[in-house]
Amino acid sequence: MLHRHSLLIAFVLSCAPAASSPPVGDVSHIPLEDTVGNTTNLATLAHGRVTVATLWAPWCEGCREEEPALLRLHQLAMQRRDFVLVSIAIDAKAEELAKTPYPRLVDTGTFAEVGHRRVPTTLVIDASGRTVYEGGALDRAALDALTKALRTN
Amino acid sequence: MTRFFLAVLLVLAWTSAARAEGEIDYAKILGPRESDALEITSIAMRLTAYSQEGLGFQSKAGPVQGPGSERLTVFEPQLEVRAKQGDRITHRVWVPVDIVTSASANAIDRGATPDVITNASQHNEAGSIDWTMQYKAGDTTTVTLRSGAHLEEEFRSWLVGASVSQGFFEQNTVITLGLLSSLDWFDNFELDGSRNGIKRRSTVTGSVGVTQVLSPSTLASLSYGITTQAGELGNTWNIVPIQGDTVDHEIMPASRLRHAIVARVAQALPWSAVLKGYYRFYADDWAIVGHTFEVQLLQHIGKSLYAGFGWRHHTQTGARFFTTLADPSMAPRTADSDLQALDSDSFTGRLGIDIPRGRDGTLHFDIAYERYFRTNDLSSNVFTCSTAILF
Repeated sequence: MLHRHSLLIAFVLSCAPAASSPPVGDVSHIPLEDTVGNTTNLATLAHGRVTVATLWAPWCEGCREEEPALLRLHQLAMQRRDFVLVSIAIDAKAEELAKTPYPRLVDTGTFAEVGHRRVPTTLVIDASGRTVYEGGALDRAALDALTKALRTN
Repeated sequence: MTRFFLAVLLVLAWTSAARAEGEIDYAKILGPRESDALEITSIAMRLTAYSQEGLGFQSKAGPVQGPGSERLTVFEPQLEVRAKQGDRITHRVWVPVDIVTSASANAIDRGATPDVITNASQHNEAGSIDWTMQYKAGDTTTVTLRSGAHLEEEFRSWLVGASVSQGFFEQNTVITLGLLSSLDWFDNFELDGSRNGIKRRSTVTGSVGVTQVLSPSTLASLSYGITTQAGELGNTWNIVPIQGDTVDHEIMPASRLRHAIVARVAQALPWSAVLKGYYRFYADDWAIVGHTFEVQLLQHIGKSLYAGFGWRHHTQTGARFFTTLADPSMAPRTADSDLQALDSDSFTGRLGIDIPRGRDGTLHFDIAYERYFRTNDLSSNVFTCSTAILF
Protein backbone atom coordinates (compact mmCIF):
# COMPACT_ATOMS: atom_id res chain seq x y z
CA MET A 1 0.00 0.00 0.00
CA LEU A 2 2.84 2.36 0.88
CA HIS A 3 4.43 1.73 -2.54
CA ARG A 4 1.21 2.55 -4.34
CA HIS A 5 0.65 5.65 -2.27
CA SER A 6 4.10 6.92 -3.11
CA LEU A 7 3.51 6.11 -6.75
CA LEU A 8 0.33 8.13 -6.71
CA ILE A 9 2.02 11.05 -5.01
CA ALA A 10 4.70 10.94 -7.68
CA PHE A 11 1.95 10.79 -10.31
CA VAL A 12 0.24 13.87 -8.90
CA LEU A 13 3.48 15.76 -8.58
CA SER A 14 4.52 14.82 -12.08
CA CYS A 15 1.78 17.20 -13.26
CA ALA A 16 4.14 20.02 -12.31
CA PRO A 17 6.79 21.13 -14.78
CA ALA A 18 10.22 19.49 -14.87
CA ALA A 19 11.86 19.05 -11.53
CA SER A 20 15.09 20.91 -11.19
CA SER A 21 15.35 23.70 -8.74
CA PRO A 22 17.62 25.80 -6.57
CA PRO A 23 18.70 23.56 -3.68
CA VAL A 24 18.11 24.30 -0.03
CA GLY A 25 18.96 22.64 3.21
CA ASP A 26 21.67 20.41 4.57
CA VAL A 27 21.01 16.82 3.59
CA SER A 28 24.47 15.47 4.28
CA HIS A 29 23.71 14.65 7.91
CA ILE A 30 20.32 13.04 7.41
CA PRO A 31 20.46 9.51 8.90
CA LEU A 32 20.36 6.75 6.30
CA GLU A 33 20.63 2.96 6.47
CA ASP A 34 23.15 0.92 4.56
CA THR A 35 22.27 -2.48 3.06
CA VAL A 36 23.04 -4.32 6.31
CA GLY A 37 21.00 -1.98 8.48
CA ASN A 38 23.77 0.25 9.90
CA THR A 39 22.99 3.94 10.29
CA THR A 40 25.21 6.32 8.36
CA ASN A 41 24.95 9.60 6.41
CA LEU A 42 26.31 11.24 3.28
CA ALA A 43 28.91 13.29 5.17
CA THR A 44 30.45 10.12 6.61
CA LEU A 45 30.71 8.53 3.17
CA ALA A 46 32.04 11.67 1.50
CA HIS A 47 35.06 12.19 3.77
CA GLY A 48 35.22 15.83 2.73
CA ARG A 49 34.75 15.15 -0.98
CA VAL A 50 32.06 16.30 -3.38
CA THR A 51 29.04 13.95 -3.40
CA VAL A 52 26.61 13.07 -6.17
CA ALA A 53 23.52 11.57 -4.53
CA THR A 54 20.80 10.01 -6.63
CA LEU A 55 17.35 9.35 -5.20
CA TRP A 56 15.45 6.43 -6.71
CA ALA A 57 12.67 3.95 -6.01
CA PRO A 58 12.28 0.30 -7.08
CA TRP A 59 9.10 1.05 -9.06
CA CYS A 60 10.61 4.02 -10.93
CA GLU A 61 11.14 3.38 -14.68
CA GLY A 62 13.21 6.54 -15.12
CA CYS A 63 15.55 5.42 -12.34
CA ARG A 64 16.25 2.14 -14.12
CA GLU A 65 16.99 4.05 -17.32
CA GLU A 66 19.71 6.15 -15.70
CA GLU A 67 21.56 3.19 -14.13
CA PRO A 68 24.08 2.75 -17.01
CA ALA A 69 25.05 6.44 -16.73
CA LEU A 70 25.43 6.11 -12.97
CA LEU A 71 27.74 3.12 -13.42
CA ARG A 72 29.91 5.15 -15.78
CA LEU A 73 29.92 8.08 -13.35
CA HIS A 74 30.97 5.73 -10.55
CA GLN A 75 33.86 4.44 -12.69
CA LEU A 76 34.99 8.04 -13.15
CA ALA A 77 34.67 8.67 -9.40
CA MET A 78 36.88 5.64 -8.71
CA GLN A 79 39.51 6.98 -11.14
CA ARG A 80 39.49 10.53 -9.84
CA ARG A 81 38.79 9.93 -6.14
CA ASP A 82 37.73 13.57 -5.63
CA PHE A 83 33.99 12.81 -5.54
CA VAL A 84 31.72 9.94 -4.60
CA LEU A 85 28.46 8.61 -6.00
CA VAL A 86 25.82 7.41 -3.56
CA SER A 87 22.31 6.19 -4.33
CA ILE A 88 19.49 6.59 -1.84
CA ALA A 89 16.41 4.40 -2.14
CA ILE A 90 13.09 5.99 -1.25
CA ASP A 91 10.23 3.71 -0.33
CA ALA A 92 12.30 0.49 -0.18
CA LYS A 93 13.73 -1.98 2.29
CA ALA A 94 17.47 -2.62 2.63
CA GLU A 95 17.17 -6.37 2.04
CA GLU A 96 15.35 -5.77 -1.26
CA LEU A 97 18.18 -3.80 -2.82
CA ALA A 98 20.31 -5.33 -5.56
CA LYS A 99 24.07 -4.86 -5.14
CA THR A 100 25.78 -2.12 -7.14
CA PRO A 101 29.44 -1.05 -7.34
CA TYR A 102 28.54 2.25 -5.67
CA PRO A 103 27.06 2.59 -2.17
CA ARG A 104 23.31 2.11 -1.89
CA LEU A 105 21.56 3.56 1.13
CA VAL A 106 17.95 3.54 2.27
CA ASP A 107 16.00 6.60 3.33
CA THR A 108 14.34 6.19 6.70
CA GLY A 109 11.71 8.76 5.76
CA THR A 110 13.55 11.97 6.54
CA PHE A 111 14.56 12.78 2.97
CA ALA A 112 10.91 12.83 1.92
CA GLU A 113 10.03 14.95 4.94
CA VAL A 114 12.53 17.65 3.99
CA GLY A 115 11.03 17.98 0.54
CA HIS A 116 12.88 15.41 -1.60
CA ARG A 117 9.91 13.53 -2.95
CA ARG A 118 10.51 13.18 -6.68
CA VAL A 119 12.39 10.29 -8.25
CA PRO A 120 14.74 10.19 -9.94
CA THR A 121 16.43 13.14 -8.27
CA THR A 122 20.10 14.05 -8.52
CA LEU A 123 21.77 16.10 -5.80
CA VAL A 124 25.27 17.55 -5.98
CA ILE A 125 26.68 18.31 -2.54
CA ASP A 126 29.93 20.26 -2.28
CA ALA A 127 32.83 19.38 0.01
CA SER A 128 31.42 21.54 2.80
CA GLY A 129 28.15 19.60 2.79
CA ARG A 130 26.14 22.29 1.01
CA THR A 131 23.67 21.13 -1.65
CA VAL A 132 24.61 23.07 -4.79
CA TYR A 133 22.32 21.37 -7.28
CA GLU A 134 19.04 19.50 -7.35
CA GLY A 135 17.49 18.13 -10.54
CA GLY A 136 15.84 15.13 -12.14
CA ALA A 137 17.68 12.23 -13.74
CA LEU A 138 21.43 12.60 -14.24
CA ASP A 139 21.95 15.03 -17.12
CA ARG A 140 24.23 17.75 -18.44
CA ALA A 141 23.02 20.26 -15.85
CA ALA A 142 23.98 17.87 -13.04
CA LEU A 143 27.41 17.31 -14.59
CA ASP A 144 27.80 21.08 -14.95
CA ALA A 145 27.16 21.42 -11.21
CA LEU A 146 29.55 18.57 -10.42
CA THR A 147 32.29 20.14 -12.56
CA LYS A 148 31.78 23.49 -10.84
CA ALA A 149 31.85 21.92 -7.38
CA LEU A 150 35.07 20.05 -8.20
CA ARG A 151 36.71 23.23 -9.49
CA THR A 152 35.87 25.18 -6.35
CA ASN A 153 36.85 22.30 -4.10
CA MET B 1 65.18 35.39 -18.73
CA THR B 2 65.41 31.66 -19.27
CA ARG B 3 64.24 31.10 -15.72
CA PHE B 4 61.29 33.40 -16.37
CA PHE B 5 60.18 31.40 -19.45
CA LEU B 6 60.59 28.14 -17.53
CA ALA B 7 58.42 29.53 -14.74
CA VAL B 8 55.76 30.63 -17.25
CA LEU B 9 55.83 27.19 -18.89
CA LEU B 10 55.48 25.52 -15.50
CA VAL B 11 52.52 27.72 -14.58
CA LEU B 12 50.85 27.03 -17.95
CA ALA B 13 51.45 23.28 -17.59
CA TRP B 14 50.05 23.31 -14.06
CA THR B 15 46.92 25.26 -14.98
CA SER B 16 46.42 23.07 -18.05
CA ALA B 17 46.72 19.94 -15.92
CA ALA B 18 44.33 21.39 -13.36
CA ARG B 19 41.82 22.19 -16.12
CA ALA B 20 42.13 18.66 -17.50
CA GLU B 21 41.58 17.28 -14.01
CA GLY B 22 38.35 19.28 -13.77
CA GLU B 23 36.97 18.24 -17.16
CA ILE B 24 34.32 15.54 -17.36
CA ASP B 25 33.51 13.86 -20.65
CA TYR B 26 29.74 14.31 -20.66
CA ALA B 27 29.10 12.05 -23.66
CA LYS B 28 31.13 9.27 -22.06
CA ILE B 29 29.07 9.45 -18.85
CA LEU B 30 25.62 10.11 -20.25
CA GLY B 31 25.99 7.91 -23.32
CA PRO B 32 24.08 8.23 -26.58
CA ARG B 33 20.75 8.86 -24.80
CA GLU B 34 21.93 12.33 -23.85
CA SER B 35 23.17 13.26 -27.30
CA ASP B 36 21.27 15.80 -29.38
CA ALA B 37 19.84 13.08 -31.62
CA LEU B 38 16.06 12.79 -31.68
CA GLU B 39 14.88 9.90 -29.54
CA ILE B 40 11.26 8.73 -29.54
CA THR B 41 10.02 8.21 -25.99
CA SER B 42 6.41 7.18 -26.67
CA ILE B 43 4.03 6.41 -29.51
CA ALA B 44 0.29 6.38 -28.83
CA MET B 45 -2.60 5.54 -31.13
CA ARG B 46 -6.15 6.35 -30.20
CA LEU B 47 -9.51 5.82 -31.88
CA THR B 48 -12.50 7.87 -30.74
CA ALA B 49 -16.01 7.15 -31.99
CA TYR B 50 -18.44 10.02 -31.42
CA SER B 51 -22.17 9.47 -31.82
CA GLN B 52 -24.49 12.46 -31.35
CA GLU B 53 -28.29 12.54 -31.09
CA GLY B 54 -30.48 15.58 -30.73
CA LEU B 55 -32.37 18.42 -32.30
CA GLY B 56 -31.13 21.76 -33.54
CA PHE B 57 -32.04 24.62 -35.81
CA GLN B 58 -29.10 23.98 -38.15
CA SER B 59 -30.57 20.74 -39.51
CA LYS B 60 -33.05 20.44 -42.33
CA ALA B 61 -34.31 17.12 -41.00
CA GLY B 62 -37.42 18.77 -39.59
CA PRO B 63 -39.90 21.54 -40.26
CA VAL B 64 -38.60 24.60 -42.11
CA GLN B 65 -38.44 26.66 -38.93
CA GLY B 66 -38.37 23.91 -36.35
CA PRO B 67 -35.46 22.01 -35.00
CA GLY B 68 -34.37 18.95 -36.97
CA SER B 69 -32.26 15.95 -36.22
CA GLU B 70 -28.58 16.65 -35.61
CA ARG B 71 -27.64 12.99 -35.65
CA LEU B 72 -23.93 12.73 -36.29
CA THR B 73 -21.26 10.06 -36.24
CA VAL B 74 -17.56 10.84 -36.17
CA PHE B 75 -14.56 8.52 -36.11
CA GLU B 76 -11.36 10.17 -35.01
CA PRO B 77 -8.12 8.17 -35.24
CA GLN B 78 -5.25 9.97 -33.52
CA LEU B 79 -1.51 9.51 -33.42
CA GLU B 80 0.67 11.01 -30.73
CA VAL B 81 4.46 10.84 -30.78
CA ARG B 82 6.69 12.17 -28.03
CA ALA B 83 10.42 12.55 -28.54
CA LYS B 84 13.42 13.86 -26.66
CA GLN B 85 16.24 15.87 -28.22
CA GLY B 86 19.18 16.04 -25.87
CA ASP B 87 18.45 16.67 -22.22
CA ARG B 88 16.75 20.01 -22.62
CA ILE B 89 14.29 19.67 -25.50
CA THR B 90 11.16 17.51 -25.78
CA HIS B 91 8.74 17.36 -28.70
CA ARG B 92 5.12 16.25 -28.93
CA VAL B 93 3.40 15.79 -32.26
CA TRP B 94 -0.33 15.03 -32.31
CA VAL B 95 -2.21 14.16 -35.48
CA PRO B 96 -5.99 13.69 -35.22
CA VAL B 97 -8.06 12.84 -38.29
CA ASP B 98 -11.84 13.37 -38.23
CA ILE B 99 -14.04 11.21 -40.43
CA VAL B 100 -17.66 12.37 -40.37
CA THR B 101 -19.68 9.47 -41.69
CA SER B 102 -23.20 10.77 -41.20
CA ALA B 103 -24.67 14.17 -40.51
CA SER B 104 -28.36 15.11 -40.39
CA ALA B 105 -28.91 11.61 -41.64
CA ASN B 106 -32.65 11.79 -41.20
CA ALA B 107 -32.86 14.41 -43.91
CA ILE B 108 -30.97 12.23 -46.31
CA ASP B 109 -32.99 9.17 -45.34
CA ARG B 110 -36.18 11.05 -46.17
CA GLY B 111 -34.88 12.03 -49.56
CA ALA B 112 -35.08 15.70 -48.77
CA THR B 113 -32.77 18.07 -50.61
CA PRO B 114 -29.70 18.29 -48.40
CA ASP B 115 -29.30 21.74 -46.94
CA VAL B 116 -26.04 23.56 -46.67
CA ILE B 117 -25.17 21.63 -43.51
CA THR B 118 -25.75 18.16 -44.86
CA ASN B 119 -24.08 19.13 -48.10
CA ALA B 120 -21.04 20.30 -46.23
CA SER B 121 -20.71 17.45 -43.82
CA GLN B 122 -22.61 14.48 -45.27
CA HIS B 123 -19.24 12.85 -45.70
CA ASN B 124 -16.21 14.75 -44.59
CA GLU B 125 -12.60 14.22 -43.64
CA ALA B 126 -10.50 16.65 -41.66
CA GLY B 127 -6.98 16.48 -40.39
CA SER B 128 -4.82 18.42 -37.96
CA ILE B 129 -1.23 18.45 -36.87
CA ASP B 130 -0.20 19.96 -33.57
CA TRP B 131 3.46 20.30 -32.58
CA THR B 132 4.67 21.34 -29.15
CA MET B 133 8.32 21.85 -28.26
CA GLN B 134 9.43 22.32 -24.67
CA TYR B 135 12.86 23.76 -23.92
CA LYS B 136 14.36 23.62 -20.45
CA ALA B 137 16.12 26.98 -20.43
CA GLY B 138 17.50 26.64 -16.92
CA ASP B 139 17.05 24.89 -13.61
CA THR B 140 13.73 26.59 -13.03
CA THR B 141 12.68 27.95 -16.42
CA THR B 142 10.84 26.16 -19.20
CA VAL B 143 9.89 27.67 -22.56
CA THR B 144 7.18 26.02 -24.64
CA LEU B 145 6.49 26.71 -28.32
CA ARG B 146 3.41 25.41 -30.10
CA SER B 147 2.27 25.43 -33.68
CA GLY B 148 -0.50 23.63 -35.51
CA ALA B 149 -2.62 23.51 -38.62
CA HIS B 150 -6.07 22.18 -39.42
CA LEU B 151 -7.42 21.38 -42.85
CA GLU B 152 -10.82 20.26 -44.05
CA GLU B 153 -12.84 20.82 -47.15
CA GLU B 154 -14.19 24.27 -46.29
CA PHE B 155 -12.11 25.28 -43.31
CA ARG B 156 -8.38 25.94 -42.71
CA SER B 157 -6.72 27.06 -39.53
CA TRP B 158 -3.22 27.83 -38.31
CA LEU B 159 -2.13 28.49 -34.76
CA VAL B 160 1.08 29.51 -33.07
CA GLY B 161 1.84 30.13 -29.43
CA ALA B 162 4.46 30.33 -26.72
CA SER B 163 4.58 30.10 -22.96
CA VAL B 164 7.17 30.52 -20.23
CA SER B 165 7.12 28.72 -16.87
CA GLN B 166 9.24 29.86 -13.97
CA GLY B 167 9.60 27.82 -10.80
CA PHE B 168 10.08 29.20 -7.31
CA PHE B 169 10.63 27.74 -3.86
CA GLU B 170 12.13 24.39 -4.96
CA GLN B 171 9.69 24.21 -7.85
CA ASN B 172 6.83 24.01 -5.37
CA THR B 173 5.43 27.11 -7.04
CA VAL B 174 5.38 27.48 -10.82
CA ILE B 175 4.10 30.59 -12.62
CA THR B 176 3.27 30.33 -16.32
CA LEU B 177 2.64 33.08 -18.86
CA GLY B 178 1.26 32.16 -22.28
CA LEU B 179 0.20 33.65 -25.59
CA LEU B 180 -1.64 31.75 -28.32
CA SER B 181 -2.82 33.09 -31.65
CA SER B 182 -4.82 31.43 -34.40
CA LEU B 183 -5.96 32.43 -37.85
CA ASP B 184 -8.92 30.71 -39.54
CA TRP B 185 -10.07 31.11 -43.11
CA PHE B 186 -13.05 29.30 -44.58
CA ASP B 187 -15.46 29.24 -47.48
CA ASN B 188 -18.39 31.65 -47.30
CA PHE B 189 -21.63 29.75 -47.94
CA GLU B 190 -24.86 31.12 -49.37
CA LEU B 191 -28.20 29.73 -48.21
CA ASP B 192 -28.44 27.38 -51.18
CA GLY B 193 -25.09 25.82 -50.31
CA SER B 194 -23.07 27.57 -52.99
CA ARG B 195 -19.75 29.09 -52.03
CA ASN B 196 -19.05 32.79 -52.28
CA GLY B 197 -15.51 33.84 -51.44
CA ILE B 198 -13.50 33.43 -48.27
CA LYS B 199 -14.09 34.69 -44.72
CA ARG B 200 -11.44 35.08 -42.02
CA ARG B 201 -11.17 35.41 -38.28
CA SER B 202 -8.34 35.79 -35.81
CA THR B 203 -8.10 34.75 -32.18
CA VAL B 204 -5.53 35.78 -29.58
CA THR B 205 -5.41 34.34 -26.06
CA GLY B 206 -3.23 35.55 -23.21
CA SER B 207 -3.00 33.56 -20.00
CA VAL B 208 -1.34 33.57 -16.61
CA GLY B 209 -1.37 30.68 -14.17
CA VAL B 210 0.15 29.51 -10.93
CA THR B 211 0.65 25.88 -9.87
CA GLN B 212 1.35 25.21 -6.22
CA VAL B 213 2.38 22.04 -4.36
CA LEU B 214 0.30 22.35 -1.19
CA SER B 215 1.53 19.16 0.49
CA PRO B 216 3.37 15.99 -0.58
CA SER B 217 0.06 14.67 -1.84
CA THR B 218 -1.79 17.80 -2.94
CA LEU B 219 -1.32 19.91 -6.05
CA ALA B 220 -3.40 22.98 -6.96
CA SER B 221 -3.44 25.46 -9.81
CA LEU B 222 -5.24 28.66 -10.69
CA SER B 223 -5.21 30.36 -14.08
CA TYR B 224 -6.80 33.25 -15.91
CA GLY B 225 -7.15 33.62 -19.65
CA ILE B 226 -8.40 36.44 -21.83
CA THR B 227 -9.31 35.88 -25.47
CA THR B 228 -10.14 38.38 -28.14
CA GLN B 229 -11.62 37.40 -31.49
CA ALA B 230 -12.25 39.44 -34.60
CA GLY B 231 -13.53 38.79 -38.10
CA GLU B 232 -16.30 36.41 -39.18
CA LEU B 233 -17.29 34.72 -35.91
CA GLY B 234 -19.95 32.46 -37.37
CA ASN B 235 -19.34 29.60 -39.74
CA THR B 236 -21.42 31.24 -42.54
CA TRP B 237 -23.69 28.23 -43.05
CA ASN B 238 -25.69 28.48 -39.82
CA ILE B 239 -29.30 29.56 -40.31
CA VAL B 240 -31.87 31.36 -38.15
CA PRO B 241 -35.68 30.93 -38.34
CA ILE B 242 -37.21 34.26 -39.50
CA GLN B 243 -40.75 35.55 -39.03
CA GLY B 244 -42.73 34.81 -42.18
CA ASP B 245 -42.03 31.06 -42.21
CA THR B 246 -38.55 31.28 -43.67
CA VAL B 247 -34.90 31.12 -42.65
CA ASP B 248 -31.94 33.41 -43.22
CA HIS B 249 -28.24 33.72 -42.45
CA GLU B 250 -26.93 33.86 -38.91
CA ILE B 251 -25.40 37.30 -38.22
CA MET B 252 -22.67 37.47 -35.61
CA PRO B 253 -20.98 40.48 -33.96
CA ALA B 254 -17.62 41.43 -35.46
CA SER B 255 -15.71 40.81 -32.23
CA ARG B 256 -15.81 38.86 -29.01
CA LEU B 257 -13.97 39.30 -25.71
CA ARG B 258 -13.85 36.24 -23.45
CA HIS B 259 -12.59 35.72 -19.90
CA ALA B 260 -12.01 32.43 -18.10
CA ILE B 261 -10.77 31.56 -14.63
CA VAL B 262 -9.85 27.93 -13.95
CA ALA B 263 -9.05 26.30 -10.61
CA ARG B 264 -7.79 22.72 -10.30
CA VAL B 265 -6.77 20.54 -7.40
CA ALA B 266 -5.38 16.99 -7.34
CA GLN B 267 -5.25 14.98 -4.14
CA ALA B 268 -3.57 11.59 -3.71
CA LEU B 269 -5.67 9.36 -1.47
CA PRO B 270 -4.28 6.67 0.88
CA TRP B 271 -6.11 3.83 -0.92
CA SER B 272 -4.15 4.06 -4.18
CA ALA B 273 -6.35 6.69 -5.73
CA VAL B 274 -6.16 10.26 -7.00
CA LEU B 275 -9.07 12.67 -6.75
CA LYS B 276 -9.13 15.65 -9.09
CA GLY B 277 -11.41 18.68 -8.90
CA TYR B 278 -11.94 21.37 -11.53
CA TYR B 279 -13.93 24.60 -11.68
CA ARG B 280 -14.14 27.08 -14.55
CA PHE B 281 -15.81 30.46 -14.59
CA TYR B 282 -16.47 31.92 -18.02
CA ALA B 283 -17.86 35.28 -19.16
CA ASP B 284 -17.88 37.11 -22.48
CA ASP B 285 -19.26 40.30 -23.97
CA TRP B 286 -22.04 38.36 -25.71
CA ALA B 287 -23.63 38.03 -22.23
CA ILE B 288 -22.73 34.37 -21.81
CA VAL B 289 -21.76 33.50 -18.25
CA GLY B 290 -20.84 29.90 -17.54
CA HIS B 291 -19.84 27.72 -14.60
CA THR B 292 -18.29 24.27 -15.04
CA PHE B 293 -17.61 21.79 -12.26
CA GLU B 294 -15.82 18.50 -12.65
CA VAL B 295 -14.62 15.71 -10.38
CA GLN B 296 -12.50 12.74 -11.42
CA LEU B 297 -11.39 9.71 -9.46
CA LEU B 298 -8.49 7.58 -10.67
CA GLN B 299 -8.26 4.28 -8.81
CA HIS B 300 -5.37 1.83 -9.15
CA ILE B 301 -6.31 -1.83 -8.93
CA GLY B 302 -3.18 -3.90 -8.43
CA LYS B 303 0.12 -2.87 -9.97
CA SER B 304 -0.89 -2.26 -13.55
CA LEU B 305 -4.67 -1.88 -13.76
CA TYR B 306 -6.54 1.36 -13.13
CA ALA B 307 -10.08 2.63 -13.40
CA GLY B 308 -11.27 6.21 -13.75
CA PHE B 309 -14.64 7.86 -13.16
CA GLY B 310 -15.65 11.42 -13.88
CA TRP B 311 -18.65 13.74 -13.69
CA ARG B 312 -18.83 17.15 -15.30
CA HIS B 313 -21.63 19.69 -14.95
CA HIS B 314 -21.90 22.87 -16.98
CA THR B 315 -24.41 25.68 -16.82
CA GLN B 316 -24.51 28.84 -18.92
CA THR B 317 -26.68 31.78 -19.81
CA GLY B 318 -27.44 32.38 -23.49
CA ALA B 319 -26.01 34.94 -25.87
CA ARG B 320 -28.11 38.13 -25.80
CA PHE B 321 -28.90 37.70 -29.50
CA PHE B 322 -29.95 34.04 -29.38
CA THR B 323 -33.36 33.51 -30.91
CA THR B 324 -35.49 30.73 -32.31
CA LEU B 325 -37.61 33.16 -34.35
CA ALA B 326 -36.04 36.43 -35.41
CA ASP B 327 -37.43 39.62 -36.83
CA PRO B 328 -35.99 40.00 -40.39
CA SER B 329 -34.13 43.14 -39.30
CA MET B 330 -32.62 41.59 -36.14
CA ALA B 331 -28.84 41.78 -36.06
CA PRO B 332 -26.86 40.19 -34.63
CA ARG B 333 -28.82 36.92 -34.43
CA THR B 334 -28.13 33.24 -33.94
CA ALA B 335 -30.02 30.01 -33.37
CA ASP B 336 -26.89 28.00 -32.60
CA SER B 337 -27.78 25.75 -29.67
CA ASP B 338 -24.24 26.08 -28.27
CA LEU B 339 -25.01 29.75 -27.60
CA GLN B 340 -28.34 29.06 -25.89
CA ALA B 341 -28.90 29.01 -22.11
CA LEU B 342 -28.31 25.40 -21.13
CA ASP B 343 -27.27 22.92 -18.48
CA SER B 344 -25.22 19.89 -19.42
CA ASP B 345 -23.80 16.84 -17.69
CA SER B 346 -21.34 14.21 -18.75
CA PHE B 347 -20.33 10.97 -17.07
CA THR B 348 -17.10 9.23 -17.97
CA GLY B 349 -15.73 5.77 -17.21
CA ARG B 350 -12.24 4.58 -18.10
CA LEU B 351 -10.31 1.34 -17.69
CA GLY B 352 -6.59 1.10 -18.39
CA ILE B 353 -3.71 -1.30 -18.06
CA ASP B 354 0.07 -0.88 -18.22
CA ILE B 355 2.11 -3.95 -19.15
CA PRO B 356 5.85 -3.59 -18.43
CA ARG B 357 8.08 -5.12 -21.13
CA GLY B 358 11.43 -4.68 -19.43
CA ARG B 359 13.94 -2.83 -21.57
CA ASP B 360 11.39 -2.58 -24.40
CA GLY B 361 9.31 -0.15 -22.36
CA THR B 362 5.69 -0.36 -21.30
CA LEU B 363 2.58 -1.25 -23.29
CA HIS B 364 -0.49 0.76 -22.40
CA PHE B 365 -4.13 0.05 -23.28
CA ASP B 366 -7.25 1.87 -22.22
CA ILE B 367 -10.90 2.15 -23.12
CA ALA B 368 -13.26 4.95 -22.15
CA TYR B 369 -16.93 5.79 -22.48
CA GLU B 370 -18.57 9.19 -22.03
CA ARG B 371 -22.28 9.97 -21.94
CA TYR B 372 -23.07 13.66 -22.54
CA PHE B 373 -26.50 15.26 -22.44
CA ARG B 374 -27.90 18.74 -22.09
CA THR B 375 -31.17 20.52 -21.56
CA ASN B 376 -31.63 21.80 -25.12
CA ASP B 377 -32.06 18.47 -26.89
CA LEU B 378 -28.57 17.22 -27.51
CA SER B 379 -26.84 14.12 -26.28
CA SER B 380 -23.87 12.06 -27.34
CA ASN B 381 -22.02 8.82 -26.69
CA VAL B 382 -18.26 8.90 -27.01
CA PHE B 383 -16.20 5.70 -27.12
CA THR B 384 -12.42 5.84 -27.04
CA CYS B 385 -9.86 3.09 -27.14
CA SER B 386 -6.15 3.72 -27.17
CA THR B 387 -2.87 1.91 -27.13
CA ALA B 388 0.57 3.32 -26.48
CA ILE B 389 4.16 2.20 -26.29
CA LEU B 390 6.17 4.06 -23.68
CA PHE B 391 9.91 3.58 -24.21
